[in-house]
Amino acid sequence: METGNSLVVFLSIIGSFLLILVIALIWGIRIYNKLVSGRNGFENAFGQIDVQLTRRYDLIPNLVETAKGYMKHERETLEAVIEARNQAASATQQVARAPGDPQAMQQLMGAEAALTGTLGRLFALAEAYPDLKANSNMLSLQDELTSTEDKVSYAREGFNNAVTRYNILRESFPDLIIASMFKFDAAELFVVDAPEQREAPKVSFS
Amino acid sequence: MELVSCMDLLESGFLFRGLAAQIDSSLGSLEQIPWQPLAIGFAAVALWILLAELSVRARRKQRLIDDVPTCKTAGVFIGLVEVKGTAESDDPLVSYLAESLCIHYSYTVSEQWRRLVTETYTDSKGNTRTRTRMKTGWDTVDQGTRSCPFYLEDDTGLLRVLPAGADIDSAALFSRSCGQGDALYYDKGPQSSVFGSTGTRRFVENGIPLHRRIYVMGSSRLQKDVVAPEIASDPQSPLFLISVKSEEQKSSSYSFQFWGWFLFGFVTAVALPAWLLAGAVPGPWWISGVLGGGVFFCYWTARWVVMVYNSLMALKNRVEQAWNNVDVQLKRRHDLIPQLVEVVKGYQQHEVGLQQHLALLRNEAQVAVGEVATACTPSLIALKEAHPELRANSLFIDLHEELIRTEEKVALARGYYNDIVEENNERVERIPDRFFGSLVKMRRRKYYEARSFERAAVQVDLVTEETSSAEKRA
Repeated sequence: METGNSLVVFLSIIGSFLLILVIALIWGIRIYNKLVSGRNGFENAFGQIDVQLTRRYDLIPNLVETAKGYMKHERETLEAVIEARNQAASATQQVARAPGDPQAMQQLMGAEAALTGTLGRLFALAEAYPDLKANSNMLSLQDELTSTEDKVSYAREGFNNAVTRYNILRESFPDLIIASMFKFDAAELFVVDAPEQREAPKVSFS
Repeated sequence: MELVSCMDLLESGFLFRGLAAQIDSSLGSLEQIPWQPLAIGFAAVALWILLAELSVRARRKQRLIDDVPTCKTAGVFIGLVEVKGTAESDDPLVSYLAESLCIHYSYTVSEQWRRLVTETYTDSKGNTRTRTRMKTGWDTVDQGTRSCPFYLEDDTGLLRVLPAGADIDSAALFSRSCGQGDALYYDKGPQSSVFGSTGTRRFVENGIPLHRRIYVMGSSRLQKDVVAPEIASDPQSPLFLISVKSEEQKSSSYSFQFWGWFLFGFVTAVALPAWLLAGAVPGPWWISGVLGGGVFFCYWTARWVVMVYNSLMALKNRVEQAWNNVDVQLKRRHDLIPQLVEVVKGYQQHEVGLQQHLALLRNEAQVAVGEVATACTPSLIALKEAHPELRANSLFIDLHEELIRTEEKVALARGYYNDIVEENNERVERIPDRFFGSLVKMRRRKYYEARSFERAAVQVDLVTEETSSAEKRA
């Protein structure tokens, strides 16, 4: 009876030891996996900043060029109208001087037609953008610049959030045991690299 | 060689048989193990672990609420935020019972019954007997919960909140008991009735009414369709709470839970062993009670220490996050404002040329009307009327507004940093947190301070060089 009891005690000690070991192992693996996904989380968040920066790099120059192109178009259209108007005016004067001259009359007709054509272009321009309108182009450029920078800054805040989550995870107990065993190093938050960029930009129109 | 192996076999056979005999005898002794007390013991230990956990968890939530400063909706960043404001919605729900506008409601209809029940019980002599008795009770016959996305409004703006998955504290919207004669009885309740119904129903509804002041704490993320943050359920978020209670009420209710669960656990840990093991173990009856209480207290203290450590460490990291989020706003300002200024400048330049051309055209149109009318003169007059005034104006307004918004974002980020530094510095000195200071490497932090030249009142000077020289000439 004595030996039987001691065997039960022995077996149950071994058994509970194994059980604790298995539980600890599963628990450790869980923490390890959490740390891994935390690390991937902030690496992805860093990538998201890059996504927004690339978007900015690709988008903004094109928008600026579009706005520039439109401004050029608007200016050229007006210049063409003035040119046509001047020609029409000089043709009118010629006709006034010599009303019988069919060549002058023909010139006037041609100049008037050209002026009508350019004016048509000007009005088409005004109709396509109901306010004549390099202005509205510029307004939407401003809006897009703002929302682009908003997106970038939200991505940076998202990165800071992911880093904070990961750092909290790797420093909290008992996770820090696994974190130090498997070299889960601390992650760095977003920092402005050049200190002068922290200063307020000077707005100047002079 | 063969002999040796035979001996080996024999020996192992003997060994095996010996082992089998031992297992046999141990199986016999298994019956002697007091399984029932053991099971009770395990159940009790599991209960105490659970109670200690509940107690410590309530404290963890309380500390989180206390540590995270309130954020204005305009200054909400991506991460764990706490906001206060009123619940608003363009398309609110109509609650089922009270039929009032709300953003969340849950209702229960229960019906009373009275019936004879047969129950088995064990009498004082240990015999199993059955008896019947009249019993009354309530059955839930209908219930439902609905909530809708809403906006939290404060003095700086709106913030979208998706309440799915949140812990919601509601206010009472409706509560009434009535009999079958009442119109409400069948209007809002099912047509069928429960067995043994007494014909009484209880209608209870709780919810968050529209325009109600609420407290929200949760993780924010960027909205999918708009460039703005929203608070939504996040499995990694330590807390997602929508409450009609104030922050202080919420904090003290968690504190109450903390002490309540602890006391309950401690009392059962003392009383249960003292009562169960009174005759079973040698020594005075209170020994096992003190032992049980002591073990519970030690376990609970260990959990509490870990919780305080983790909470301080999380606070330290959040302070860092707040500091670096200021950098995010500064970088945004540095990148954005010069771009906007360039846009305004570029358009200004364009408009100067444009206006000169248009002025020329206008003059010519007037001359043409006076002298020789040409076929195109009406068109030119039309153009004169339709042509734009100075439009750089709207760009300036845009720039003006964005400058304000940008500086507000920077100021809110700095304000948040100072708020969380205040929490940090308080924890550095408070008891018991200060004893953990060196362990967590927590330290006092400096508040954000304006530089001396920034403190001076700003001189507004609207006189430009051109106007001042014009004045001189006059």
